Amino acid sequence: MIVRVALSLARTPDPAHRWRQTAVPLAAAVSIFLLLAAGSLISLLDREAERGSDRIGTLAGSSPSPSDLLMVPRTDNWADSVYISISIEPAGAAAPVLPPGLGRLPSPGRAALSPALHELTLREPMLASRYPHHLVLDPAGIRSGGELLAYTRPPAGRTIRGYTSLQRVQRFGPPHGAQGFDPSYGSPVDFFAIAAGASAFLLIPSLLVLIAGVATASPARDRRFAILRALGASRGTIARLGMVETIALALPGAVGAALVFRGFVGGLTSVPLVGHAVLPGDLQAPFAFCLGLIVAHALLAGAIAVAIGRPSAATSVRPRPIAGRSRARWWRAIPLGLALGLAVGGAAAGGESGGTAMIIGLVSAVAALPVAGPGLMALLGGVLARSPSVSGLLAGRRLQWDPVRIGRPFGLCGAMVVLAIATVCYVALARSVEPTRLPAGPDAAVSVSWADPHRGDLDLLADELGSGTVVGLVRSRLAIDCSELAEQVGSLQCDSGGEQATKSGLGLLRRLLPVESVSGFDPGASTRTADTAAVFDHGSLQALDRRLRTAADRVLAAPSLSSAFDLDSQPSELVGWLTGAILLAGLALAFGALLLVVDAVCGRVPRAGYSRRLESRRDAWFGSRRRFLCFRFGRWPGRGRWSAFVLRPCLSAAPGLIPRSRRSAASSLQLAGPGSWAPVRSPI
Amino acid sequence: MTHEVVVRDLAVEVPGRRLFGGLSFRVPAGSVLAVVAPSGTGKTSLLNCVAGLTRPVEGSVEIADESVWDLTDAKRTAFRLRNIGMVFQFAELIPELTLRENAALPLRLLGASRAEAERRAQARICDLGIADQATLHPSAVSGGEAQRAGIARALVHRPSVLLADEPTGALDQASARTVADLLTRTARASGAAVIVGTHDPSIAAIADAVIDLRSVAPAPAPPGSAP
Repeated sequence: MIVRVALSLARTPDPAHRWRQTAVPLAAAVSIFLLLAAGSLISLLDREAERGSDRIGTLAGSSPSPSDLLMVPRTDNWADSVYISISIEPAGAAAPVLPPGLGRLPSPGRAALSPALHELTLREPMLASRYPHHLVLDPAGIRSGGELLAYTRPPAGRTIRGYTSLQRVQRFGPPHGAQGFDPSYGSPVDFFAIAAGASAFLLIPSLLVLIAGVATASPARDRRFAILRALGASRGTIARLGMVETIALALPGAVGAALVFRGFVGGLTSVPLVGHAVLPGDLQAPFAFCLGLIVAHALLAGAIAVAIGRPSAATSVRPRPIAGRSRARWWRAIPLGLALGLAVGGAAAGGESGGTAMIIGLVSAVAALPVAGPGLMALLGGVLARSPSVSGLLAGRRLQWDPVRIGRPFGLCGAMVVLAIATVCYVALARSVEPTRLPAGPDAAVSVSWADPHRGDLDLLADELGSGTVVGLVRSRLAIDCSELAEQVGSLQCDSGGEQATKSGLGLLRRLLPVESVSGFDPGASTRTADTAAVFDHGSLQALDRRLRTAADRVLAAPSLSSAFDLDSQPSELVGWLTGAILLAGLALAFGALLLVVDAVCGRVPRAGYSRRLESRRDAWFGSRRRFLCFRFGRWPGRGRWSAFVLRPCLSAAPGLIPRSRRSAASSLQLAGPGSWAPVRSPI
Repeated sequence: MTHEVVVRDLAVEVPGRRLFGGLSFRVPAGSVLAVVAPSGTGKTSLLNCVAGLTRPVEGSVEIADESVWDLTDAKRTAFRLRNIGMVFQFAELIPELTLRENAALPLRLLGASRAEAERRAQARICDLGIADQATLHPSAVSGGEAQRAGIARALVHRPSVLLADEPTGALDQASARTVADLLTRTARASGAAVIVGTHDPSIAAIADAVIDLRSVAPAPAPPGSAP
């Protein structure tokens, strides 16, 4: 009987129940959407980690085999992307084991690239010249769709044997206790941070939205419970009834949202708001998981209904209303006034300090908004109450009657905004480094070291490079006379003899070449088997860096470059995750707050101050009025001002706000471009 | 055990004022007490007090030798289910249930099987002359028929006490007379003590006793209560 009464209540055509019939499924849909997003994220991380572990190489140790594969990992970069480039070579004559995704070994001097790097070569001719006639890895060999990865073979006649970081791999896959070698050095993204962020920014807002939805009022429901209570139904019976009714309302919303979500993520090639490229199907959580989540979510909604349900608060048969009146206190406006004053004053003053004051004022104003919320509600209520329409009068009086409770949801939004700003600032500070001071002037320098040095390597490199000066670096000394190098590097100061640099000249060299061990000049040093060189040229450091990488890849084995450009800041992918999470959580909480506000204004209108008889009549009367207060979006009456002024603009503005807010957040906080973020580099 | 209601020195307040104080009366089994008063003088509050829904500030309510307000909330609820039937002004039937199912509701809450509950409900419905409407939903019957179904629901489990709050307030004169007659006749036949809050003179006329709440002077509000 409980189930039947509950189900019939859930689908009752009573207009007094319509707001709840809308709000609960809607909140359940948003809530499950967030939960599924968290689930998809976990699924994505799991699949990426699985592919990552599949390419961990088990080291040969003391039992080498002819089918082993030699590997030397190093970093490479293009524009602001740093990626792993692994030099590979068969250890013996037998066909070597191959990393996942690599169907066959590239020819000498050729490479196998991840799909994302391959796409990049199609757009960037200079990068394409670095990897001519390359193979493309299968998705099984990459962690994520956007991963940049290259397996390169040294040119013919070259070998990577003898290189200090050489690894001999016997097989690929989880090492199961043996010593393993992870060529990607884990992920550049802190997945634990992402998992924690998913909990904080998806699960908590999901719960809050669900609570806001389940808590929406329904005079029809209250009345039904009150009657049953008066007839002798126990609190437990009422609680079970409320639970079943809530589940019956929440479940369709959750199922619908889950179906939409599965369809939505099925076609995604990257994580929305984050930009993390994914492989097809990676975001698709297992069906059983989704089903379990929906069931658990429905039970959670029911449990919340029981937890916040108040059978004694069912007011229909009570002779007097229980809703008390609250008043907005004037002092609540003080923080907001001060903050706005600071912002206006800062804007008027202008200059750097004025700008700082304005920003502080605006942020403080956001923080102060929840405190001043009740006053603003009362103010808005006064304006609405003067409206000639009945709906305006009712909404206005409602706002004036209990502005504290109605203004409370704004605390949720304000708290979220403050939290978001604080989090972003914290991350920015925690991860920021002093930007590398790139040397001023037209001179650029890059150092390069390589495996299997041959006689004439320096000339080979110089020829391939075309322009610039290639100088051997032997035992931390440049094999050139200072005065000779000064002809290439105009700002280099040498001593009176011209053999050594002055102190400032040495400092310049150390800034140009991020090799701390450059200790001076030794023009007489033998460079026949030099495995390190410094390359100097006029022009931009980035151009020289790119040219040298391409040239070195063509003629040397496992070349590894180092320049001041390497230390330039790279935007962390974590920032993208964080920004996306904050935006999503902010939107979800704003939705929850909107639900609470609309519920407080529209859903509980018939509470305040009437006798029971009047209340009964008014229920019937308000039932139809409430519809145009809140939901009659189709045929829009001129009198529905609350809807016109508040709901409709909010609902229509929300889709446009997402990209706009992301752009403005990115530009104002300098999240998007190469700024002061720590370089993402593997410890090679 | 006697099916009578004994009220002693009852005082009820709502926020801001005292409705009445020092109210005492006794309603023997099978008799009808009419509580008459204009709106806002406390009829509903009195009935809620007797039903164990609104706690009085002073006094006691005894039903079938049990002091209602000395029971815990759970026991009071169970007691109400077993011993009290309620009739509301607008019948307050569950709109999605048929009249028979509505009438069977207290029995279902008491744990009776569906068949047994509906059989007994059908008998009550027949007593009240709405057998033809038993399978209809409340929206398909008249106000008078709905109110009869409400009476059937209140009496189906043979309660000791029947509380009716303006049972004829929403009915026309002819229907009101019929309902009032059915209410008192059926309640007397079942041996229940009946308290009816009304300002309908026709009900007051057929009641065994009448209390006018206006004659019960409000006692002074206790110190510290809201103005």
